[in-house]
Amino acid sequence: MAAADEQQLILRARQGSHEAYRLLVERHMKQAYNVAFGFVTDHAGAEDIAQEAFVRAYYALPSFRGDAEFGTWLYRIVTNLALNRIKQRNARLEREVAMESADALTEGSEDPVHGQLDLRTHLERALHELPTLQRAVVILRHIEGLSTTQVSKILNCSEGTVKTHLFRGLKKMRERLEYLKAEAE
Amino acid sequence: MNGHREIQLLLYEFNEGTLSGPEHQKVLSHLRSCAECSVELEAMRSVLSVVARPTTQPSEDQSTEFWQGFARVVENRIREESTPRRNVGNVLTGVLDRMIVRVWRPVAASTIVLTLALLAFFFAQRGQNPEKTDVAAVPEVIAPVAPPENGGQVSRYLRRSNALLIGLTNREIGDEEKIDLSAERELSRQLVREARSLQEQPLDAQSSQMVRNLERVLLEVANKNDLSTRSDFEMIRGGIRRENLLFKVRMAEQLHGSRGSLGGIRHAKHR
Repeated sequence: MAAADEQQLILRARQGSHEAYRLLVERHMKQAYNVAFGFVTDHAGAEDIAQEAFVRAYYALPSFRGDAEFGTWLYRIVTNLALNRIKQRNARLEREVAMESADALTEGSEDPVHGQLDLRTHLERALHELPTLQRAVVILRHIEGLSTTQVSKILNCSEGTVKTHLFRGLKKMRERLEYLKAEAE
Repeated sequence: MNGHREIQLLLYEFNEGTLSGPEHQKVLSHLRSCAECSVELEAMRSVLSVVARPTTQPSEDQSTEFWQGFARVVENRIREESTPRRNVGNVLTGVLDRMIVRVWRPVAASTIVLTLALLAFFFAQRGQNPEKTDVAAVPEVIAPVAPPENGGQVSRYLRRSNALLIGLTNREIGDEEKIDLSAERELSRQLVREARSLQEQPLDAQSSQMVRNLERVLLEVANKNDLSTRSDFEMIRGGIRRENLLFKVRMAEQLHGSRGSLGGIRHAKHR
C-alpha cells in the first residue's frame, strides 16, 4: 500500500504537482536529515544537505526510473552531497589550519568534569578518519541501521563490498580507539 | 584462510541476528572450532558496544515547527531555482527576442533588396559612363557580405561565453568561504585567447562591441586564483548583472543565429 502510494506521489510530482512532492518530502525528510547528520555531525549542515538533496531530487525526478525505492535513491543523493561537503571542508581545513598540533587537539577535547578524553570526540575522530567508503558504510549500515541491500544500492556497489567495508571500517575504528585509549593512559 | 574471511564478513549480521537460518548455523559451527574468528567477533562486539546505534535520532533534536517548515523551505528553494526560467525579465527577454527576430528579418531583407538595387543602379551607371565612374564616388552604403569566414567562430565564442556566465550566475555557494573557480578560470583564459584572435579579424561593429564587453568580465575571472573569496565572486556576479551581460549575449546569439553573424553585414569600407 505504502509503496503503491509512493509510486502515485512520484508520478504526480513528475507531472508537476507540488503537493505530491511536498508529501514525498514530508515522508522522507527525517531520515534524509539523519543520514546527512551521520556524515557531517552538525545540525545546520544536515539541514542544508537534506534540503539541497530534495531540491536536486525534484529536478532529477524525470530520470528516476524506479529501479530502487525513492528513499534509497534520495539517500544516495544525500550521501553524495554529504561526502562532497566533507571533502570540501577537509580541503579547507587543510589549507587554513595547515598544522594544528595533536597536543592542542587533545587539550581541546578534554572533558572538564572527568579530566579524560571525551569518548564521543574519540569516536567521531575515529569514524571520520576512515576512508570515505568505509565511513559511508559504517554510518549508513550501523549508525542509520539501513540494510546491506539498501546501502549497496545507495553506494552503487555489491552487497559483498558493503560487508567488506563494514568489517574493515569497524576493525580500523577499534584499532584507532585502542590507540587513543592507550595514548590517554 | 578464505573460509575465515567469508565468516568474518558475516560477523556483523550474525551479531545483529539478521542472517538467514542456514548462514547463522554456518557461522555458529565455524565459531565453535575457530579461535581466530571468535576473537574477531568479540573484538567487533567491543567496538559496537562503544559505537552504539544512537537511541535517539538527530532529527528528534529539532522542533515540530522546524519539521513543519522543512517542506515549505524545500518548496521555496525549488521555486527560487525555477524562477529564472519564469520571471518577468525572462518572459520579456523571450518576447524581445521574438520581436527582434520579427523586426530584423524584414529589415535585413529590405537592406539586401535595397543594396542589390543600388548595385544594379551603380553598374548600370558605370556601363553608361565608364570613364566617369569612380568607386570612391559610390555612396557609402551597408554592403552585403557573404557569410563571414569567422561566423562559426563568433557563434562558438558566444555560446561558450554564455555557458560560462550562466554557470557563474547560477552557482550555489552555500556557506563556503572560498570558492573553487579553477574550471571557470581555465575556460575564461581560453575565451580571452579566442576573443583576441577574433578581434584581429574583421568583425561587424556589434560583434566587436560584444567581444569587448565580454572580455572585461572574462579577464576578471581569468586573473583570479583557483580559490576565490566570496566577496570577489559576488563582485564578478555583480558585474555580470550590472552589464546585463546574460541578456546581451543571448540577444547576440539569437541575432547571430538568425543572420549568420552578429551583424551579418559589415559596414563597407572604402579604401
